[in-house]
Amino acid sequence: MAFNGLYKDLPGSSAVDAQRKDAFERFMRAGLPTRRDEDWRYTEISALGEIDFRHAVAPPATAKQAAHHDPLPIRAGSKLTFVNGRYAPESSTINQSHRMLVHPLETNWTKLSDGFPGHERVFAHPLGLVNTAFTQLGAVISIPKNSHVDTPILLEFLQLSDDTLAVQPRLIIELAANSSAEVIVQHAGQSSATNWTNMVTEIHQSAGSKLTFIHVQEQGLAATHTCLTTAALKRDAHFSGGYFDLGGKLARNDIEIALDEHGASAELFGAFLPIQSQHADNHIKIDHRAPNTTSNEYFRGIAGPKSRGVFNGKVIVHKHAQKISAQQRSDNLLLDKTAEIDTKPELEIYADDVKCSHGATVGELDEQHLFYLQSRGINELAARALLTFAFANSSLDFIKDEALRTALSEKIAKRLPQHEKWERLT
Amino acid sequence: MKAMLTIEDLHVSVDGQPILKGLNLTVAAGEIHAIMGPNGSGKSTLAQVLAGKEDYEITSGRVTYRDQNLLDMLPEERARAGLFLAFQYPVEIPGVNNAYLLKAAVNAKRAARGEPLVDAFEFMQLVKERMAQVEISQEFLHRSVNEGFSGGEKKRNEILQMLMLEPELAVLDETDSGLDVDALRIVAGGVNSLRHPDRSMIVVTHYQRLLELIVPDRVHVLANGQIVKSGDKELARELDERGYDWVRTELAATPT
Repeated sequence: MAFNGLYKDLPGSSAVDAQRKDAFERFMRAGLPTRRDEDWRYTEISALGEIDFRHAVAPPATAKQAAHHDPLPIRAGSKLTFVNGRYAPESSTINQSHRMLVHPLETNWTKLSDGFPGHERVFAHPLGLVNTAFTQLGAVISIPKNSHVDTPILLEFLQLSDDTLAVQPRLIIELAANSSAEVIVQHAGQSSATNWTNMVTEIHQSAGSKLTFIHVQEQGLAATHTCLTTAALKRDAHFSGGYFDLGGKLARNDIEIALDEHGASAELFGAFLPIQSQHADNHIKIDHRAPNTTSNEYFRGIAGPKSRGVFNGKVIVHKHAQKISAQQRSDNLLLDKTAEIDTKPELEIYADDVKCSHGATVGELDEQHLFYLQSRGINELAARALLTFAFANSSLDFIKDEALRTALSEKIAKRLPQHEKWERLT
Repeated sequence: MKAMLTIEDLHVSVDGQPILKGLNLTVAAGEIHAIMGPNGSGKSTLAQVLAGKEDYEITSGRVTYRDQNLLDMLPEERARAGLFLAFQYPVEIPGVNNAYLLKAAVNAKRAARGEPLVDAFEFMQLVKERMAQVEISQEFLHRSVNEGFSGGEKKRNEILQMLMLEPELAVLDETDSGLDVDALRIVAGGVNSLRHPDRSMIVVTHYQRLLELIVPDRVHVLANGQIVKSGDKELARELDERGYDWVRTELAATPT
């Protein structure tokens, strides 16, 4: 496999090195998943194994960097910028009040003297294996007890190189008891190269902590983007995760949430827009391991010509997890005869006193809505474009930060066909 | 007097079933016409056909709106030419906020007429004034169109759109149904504020109580797909007292 060359001169600690070695050996035996694996039946990434990847190359001049990037508003929080697979301190700013909380891995591998804290969960996943074996950039975010970080922490990963890079960021977020934070991860840069970004985010939430985590993926149309989020929540912790997959030739999003203790809750929401011969696959697994836990999923998919979306939402209610509530909605829109979306809710329930609901739809725009807008003077094309935008836009209702919501709303609008038709009027 | 709308011998079917069977109606500029009639007589079909809904098959007849062949026009062209339908059941459109819709609607009409588009400031001035008029709180601007609105709020929102668009011909399809006395007064106030010698209205209703507030120039009874009786506002009172059976009986007694 072409990956052999990537496994050398990697940074870390001795514990990380041991984990890497395990992961590398296991990966060399198992290889990348293929469509014979049930979890990968719609998404083919095994060809990545044939590509001669590099970890990183030098960043371009900052002017080029700026031209390729539509940054997200961060309200004077911190921003860590990574360009072409390397941390770019000159483009990063760490807010004074965040200095003790936000640590780029480049200079902080010592923080991982016990290895990656979420190793076990991550190791069990094929994408996690690859990341553990090869990661060489990322960050550790640690929020101390009772501490509320009220400005967001943004990590931006920019791919601006024409080289074929395999970038494997690792993000570790730890929230101590009763703390709160907001973390935004943006993957951008209109490189035309066949890059692969494979990110792992491991989240560890102690009792009563609250995390808002937003993932925005707008990579070039030749890029492959895969990412794995694992989160483990203790008593009364709350995780709110938003996932917006707008770019990439192929995007695959795996989210695994463990509601480990009484009262823990998670809401997951987002939109995936494979529009221009793109492919976007979301696999979500929520484990209700304790009583009185709550989960809510709300995803919207829109597929354009020759594009495909996948939504697979699995909820497992373990034996003693009584009085839990799990809701799931997956609504999808097809813009063309050659578009396809496969949505599959899965429920495995081993407790008897639970409240679970799921709904999945795949369809076209509502003719009544269309007529209503036309009857107000908006032509059919503009009305269709506006309704398509609205369909995706409603996934932003979960975001409280208005500036972020507006920025995401504009990014969604720009991805959709004919958006200028209605924007001109509003 | 100049005709705003002329409907001649209009026949319309839905799924092969005839609903309108030779309807004739002329509305002059500046007039308000009420159309009353029992359920299933074709009142809503008429309203939807005028707005350009596609599900209806027009088998024969002509509709002329301000010297144009209305039936040849797309729904959006009709709207931009000044026709407005206040829907009986306004749809909820998640994700499209009211401000977007109102601004897009105003601008679509302006663009079609070669007028400059409304700027943000002018739009806010206008919309605030009109919202106050129909007693809708400003937070509704940033909510999705009709989503989570009560029945009365939806109807007032229709009137708000009408006030923003200042149509030449407004068709109100049972805008009064389900309204309490206060909402009815607000709706009627909105409609009356638009009364103008160059503007006409067709008010489709079951109830005379709306016509006490919006006083019509003509009242028509639509039954079995035709206008079977026309009169002035007294006809509405008579219908309210005697019911539609009275018209049916009268018709049956009339030799053809």
